[in-house]
Amino acid sequence: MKIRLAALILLLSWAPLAGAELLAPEAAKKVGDRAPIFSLVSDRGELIEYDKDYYGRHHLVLTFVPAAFTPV
Amino acid sequence: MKYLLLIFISFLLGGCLAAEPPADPFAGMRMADGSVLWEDEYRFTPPPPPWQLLTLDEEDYSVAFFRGCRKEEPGNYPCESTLAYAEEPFGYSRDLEERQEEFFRRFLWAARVDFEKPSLKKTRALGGEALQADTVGHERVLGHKVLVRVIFAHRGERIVAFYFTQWRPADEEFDQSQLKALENFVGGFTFTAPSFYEKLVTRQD
Amino acid sequence: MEGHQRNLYLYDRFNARVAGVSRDEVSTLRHWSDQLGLSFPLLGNPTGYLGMDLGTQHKGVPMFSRRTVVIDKWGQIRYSEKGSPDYREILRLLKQLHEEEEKR
Repeated sequence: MKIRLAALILLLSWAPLAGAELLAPEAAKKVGDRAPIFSLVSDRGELIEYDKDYYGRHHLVLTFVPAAFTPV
Repeated sequence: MKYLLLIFISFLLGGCLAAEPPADPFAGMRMADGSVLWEDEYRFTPPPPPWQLLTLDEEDYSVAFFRGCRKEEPGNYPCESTLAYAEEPFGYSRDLEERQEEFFRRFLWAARVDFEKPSLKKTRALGGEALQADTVGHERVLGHKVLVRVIFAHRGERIVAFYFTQWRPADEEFDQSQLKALENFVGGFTFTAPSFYEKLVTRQD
Repeated sequence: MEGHQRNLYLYDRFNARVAGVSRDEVSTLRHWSDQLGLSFPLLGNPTGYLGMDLGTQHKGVPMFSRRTVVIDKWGQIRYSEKGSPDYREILRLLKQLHEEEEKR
């Protein structure tokens, strides 16, 4: 019963987003592509640069979240 | 496309309307001695009635039971108790005491409870060193309080926890005898297979 | 995010690092990090370009969609899945990447 209800809710929540497109879909990178070069400031005020801090040094896990203080 | 959606939805709703009888939550998992084998990895004896199963969550690997107030035990709201095992309790540290501190910063945060400083006691659980933390939390605006006991224990490199909570109105006594259910649950709890993490860190040659 | 923090010792063992990314200002992210007690960076990307680059910025929505991307140390994207992070799947991949490293 719970599974059917969950499936129903999932289906209905997907319907309105069926038209939601990616911004710049042609540019969006996928598995197998080269990672973009990027520099961003962190919550500690440090400049994090992909090439300096990770490239050739560490594997990197990036988790994108909609907003702070919301569940991830 | 719209047609398919309509058919699919009526199929789902049709399923919901057909009443399904309440199932034994542990069907197929019961052992001869009354214990339960879950996910081929956890073996435990569920607490006896009036405790009921609350969740058996395969996503966060936890199992919880609850008991409410019965006619034979008059008492005002709130009066629920919960008994649970959590594979990934709040917090991060692999040190028992540090994990305990991190845990209480987040535990019951949605219930707006503020905890007294827990009293800690070294103990043993799951065949190893464990830490028992006892405290009372207060929801002062609504005039509720909650008795809490948490047992932090090791599973491989990580820390797991068993916890017990009992809610009462601020001016009522707690029923300490219910803590026996936690003691029995922890005492009868074992792992029958290594965890995902234990398997992950084993070198495969 | 707590799942990442809890697994940090394993990420270290596999020579991996983790960062969160959102369109919040870094001052907001600082408070969130403090509240959760995180020790890995949260990156602020108010303009959203990194999300656009990695396919997680949808039209008409001023926030990123949830997604986790894993980039190996040689600069190749090895994993990109939407939704909340599947921590176990990520760990399995990182273990594999670390094994690849040791073979190179």
